[in-house]
Amino acid sequence: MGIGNFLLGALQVLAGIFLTATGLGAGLGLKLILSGALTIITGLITPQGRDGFSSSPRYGFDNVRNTTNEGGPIPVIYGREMVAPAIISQMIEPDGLDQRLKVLCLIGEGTISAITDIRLNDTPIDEFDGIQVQKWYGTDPQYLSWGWRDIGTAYAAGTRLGLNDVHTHTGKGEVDALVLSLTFPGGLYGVHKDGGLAYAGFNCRIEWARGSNPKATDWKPVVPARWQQKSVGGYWSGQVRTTTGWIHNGGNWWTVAAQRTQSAYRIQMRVDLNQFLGNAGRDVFSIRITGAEAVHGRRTNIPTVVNVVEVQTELKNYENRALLGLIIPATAQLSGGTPKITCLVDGLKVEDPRTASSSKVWSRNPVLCARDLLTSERYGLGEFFSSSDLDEGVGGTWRTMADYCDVALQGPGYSQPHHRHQLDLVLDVKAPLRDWLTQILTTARLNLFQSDGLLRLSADQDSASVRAFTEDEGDGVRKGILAAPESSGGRMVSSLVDRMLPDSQAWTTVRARYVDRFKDYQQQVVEITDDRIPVDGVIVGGPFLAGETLRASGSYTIVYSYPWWGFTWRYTRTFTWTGFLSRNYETGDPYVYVAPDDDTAAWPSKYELNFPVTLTGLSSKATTGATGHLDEAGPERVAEIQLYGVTRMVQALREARFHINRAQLTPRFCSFAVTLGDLDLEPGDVFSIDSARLGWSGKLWMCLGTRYGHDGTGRVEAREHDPDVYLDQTDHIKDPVLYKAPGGAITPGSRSLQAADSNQKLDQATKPGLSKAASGKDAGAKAAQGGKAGSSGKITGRKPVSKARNVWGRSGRLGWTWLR
Amino acid sequence: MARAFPAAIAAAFRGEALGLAYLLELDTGGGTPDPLRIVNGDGDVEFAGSTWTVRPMEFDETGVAPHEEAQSLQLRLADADGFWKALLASGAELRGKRATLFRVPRGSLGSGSVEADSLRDTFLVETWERASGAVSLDLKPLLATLELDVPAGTITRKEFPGIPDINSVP
Repeated sequence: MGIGNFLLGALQVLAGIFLTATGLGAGLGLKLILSGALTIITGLITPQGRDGFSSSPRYGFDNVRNTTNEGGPIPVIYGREMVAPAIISQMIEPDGLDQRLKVLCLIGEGTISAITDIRLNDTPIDEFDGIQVQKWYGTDPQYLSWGWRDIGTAYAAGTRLGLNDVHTHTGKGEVDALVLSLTFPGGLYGVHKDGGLAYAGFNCRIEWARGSNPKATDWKPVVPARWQQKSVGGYWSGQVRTTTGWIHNGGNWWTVAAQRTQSAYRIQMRVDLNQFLGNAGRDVFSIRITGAEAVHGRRTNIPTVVNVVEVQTELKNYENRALLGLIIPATAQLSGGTPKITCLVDGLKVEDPRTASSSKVWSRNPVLCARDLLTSERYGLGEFFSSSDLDEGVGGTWRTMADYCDVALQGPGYSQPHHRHQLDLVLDVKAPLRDWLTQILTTARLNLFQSDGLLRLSADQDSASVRAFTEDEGDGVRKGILAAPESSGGRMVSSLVDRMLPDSQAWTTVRARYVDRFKDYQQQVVEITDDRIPVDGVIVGGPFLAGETLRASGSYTIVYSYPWWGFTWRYTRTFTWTGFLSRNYETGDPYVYVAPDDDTAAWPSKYELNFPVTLTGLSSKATTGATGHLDEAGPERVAEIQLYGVTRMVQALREARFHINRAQLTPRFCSFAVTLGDLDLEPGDVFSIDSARLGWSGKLWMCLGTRYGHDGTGRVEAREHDPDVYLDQTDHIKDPVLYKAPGGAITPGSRSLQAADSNQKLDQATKPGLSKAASGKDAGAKAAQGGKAGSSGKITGRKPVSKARNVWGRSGRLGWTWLR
Repeated sequence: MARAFPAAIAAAFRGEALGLAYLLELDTGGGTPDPLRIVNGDGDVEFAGSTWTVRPMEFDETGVAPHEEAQSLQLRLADADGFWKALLASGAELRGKRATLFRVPRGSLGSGSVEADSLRDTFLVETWERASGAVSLDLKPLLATLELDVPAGTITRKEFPGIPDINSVP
């Protein structure tokens, strides 16, 4: 007896065996209990967006930015991505009479592979003079050189320090030293009676106190024990060091600067409090400075306290943290605030279970990256998962799916072999691993599920049928699909239930937000639209042969559109038209494509059919004189998906195409009861169903999941399967609709991108809103003429030409693009 | 691709064997024994090279989850002899520990192996509840841990003392 050939009655017997087998006493309330054998983490149903990444420095609304917030995550970087590292220390140091900014940035978890293309304010550092760069890739151990021992935290001040003005800095954290930065915006100089420049000095008093909230009696003057003057511009080696060479003890007032310059003049004073206390150790200190006027003649020089930097001096090596150190001299190119720092990072090295080596390598394979995130004890869930929890032995799903991602697609349209799925992702905001995994797995159409104690992967891909189910009784025994009592409690009927995807999810347009590696890693949005036009009734005059090109006569309107002062102006002319209508048309096809069948056809770039279209004089290779009618397409339904892990336009287009194909070609779902022996089906398995009742003969389905039922049966959930969904055609698209995304995440369920992005469409002559408005007028006019109301067809581009029946696109705003 | 059930499991599902035994392996977090291996039935059994001690238990689905969701499980353990009470009193920390449920055809007991003769579900103990004469464990599926936030690493002033205050960019 084969597995699955049971009536429900037989299963009820089997359930009885379970009941017996559990051996539970009646006093404990005997129940049949079984847990789920399969649990799926990523759905196979609809693309999802989420808003949880809106705070991401990388994917948030502000686009790439340097942020450092205590409590934020240490980023995890997979693949290659442009990042703005977090600044973990910055010091302004004197450099002769100039200054330099010393910045230490946290790239993320190590060990990463490379840091390249460092930019300041979006300009490559090669274009600046004198910038020093140091990189640490987050190995363990790693060593920072002595020059990076000072770790500074700057606190802005902005206090104008006139006579007896005081700036008080209350200690924030434990420090070894405090550095006061003063600037004389108008220079520091005096004026002789004859009008010449003279030296002017600036006096101040500096006091310190232990703690962050000192009492008035706690303040003590900073009195140096000894002075050792170094060269101008250097620090003093005593307890109070300034960038000037002038310090005089005048009670507790010090002349800390004397200069005759009309340029902005800056000084720094460093108070080594730890030394001051006899190296007694790090503590919280407060400091205050009281100003005296630097007067010479009629000239008064009043400085501003720019900031106070709390300094810890120690050699931290930051093992396992990838770092970037920059020493940036203040120049005409760079001065003022800290520049925006970005760099290109080849992210984490990961293990590859397919190799015998345990050494880690840099990889863009989504499976290997997901594996790393799951099992890392440092930044992932290694506390709960280890490699032994993964089905990654020889022949295991983690290996096969890694190979699946690495498949090199090639063929027409691909200039070179092209890895099917790659991942470039920055995890820079704390979010449930489920959400990050969804981003990773969606990149590669993967599903993660737990089965028989192991985590397994499957891909939403075409594959051969592994099982045949039937609900036809034939010999009197319902095979495969079990019967169940009718809801009314009457006779036994088939448990097979099928249902359709909600109409609202029958996408006609899919917009995919991704990051384009060829556009400076900026966020972009591509759009794929169903190009089909439904045939109203049938086109008579056939039969048409498979692959025939359909010619047609009808009328169309050329739409000239051009932007002018923020508006898109439309100018139309109507022509009678004879030309290609659709190639690969077959008798009975419910749709035609209004597109040429070769790349050189001189079609207008934008045009609209005038619906309803009456076709006359249709001809094909085999048929002439055919006639028919075309109807306008239904309402547009837009799905928006986030593909933050995708950095290639062609991959984003392919995924958008995949989603629209799936929505259009496989809208049907089913579920039915089976014997427990059929529960070895796993998500992604393809099987067939025969049903005379529903007219199905070998109809293909893809398993979404299985579960045990309360009644001792199993249950299979499945979605219609069509190999055409997975053709991964290259989608030759010239000038695809492309949005420069404003940054930020897409709110779940939101369809607001149309408005937000319509102003930023590139190479799109007609804004959606204008188009709809215009089409509404058209529809009204047509309705008045007896036509069918609704939006007019927008046939403004070309359909992909790779294969019949597998490329769907209704709107034309598409064209050719370079495939990368 | 459909994987093959262990032959013994498939036979049990086809009704060719007399049912399944339910074995539970529980990490007791330093308790004794660790791990604890118990079986639901009439007597101790041998399986996969270990002895599984009979202890009454029952479990139930705590919710009928859709196909994409993992299921939780509540495990109820009779404690007439005070075993569980003593275990918990000994300092065993069950929370967060693994509990693996094996379904094993009774015919495979004695000499079977985990890989060939069982179906496994792995859970984590979320919490436990002790009542008179019984202990119950709330088990969540291992995949429920995917709700934890990542990246796990956190920027702290302890590790990065130079983090600027949000208002202090010079």
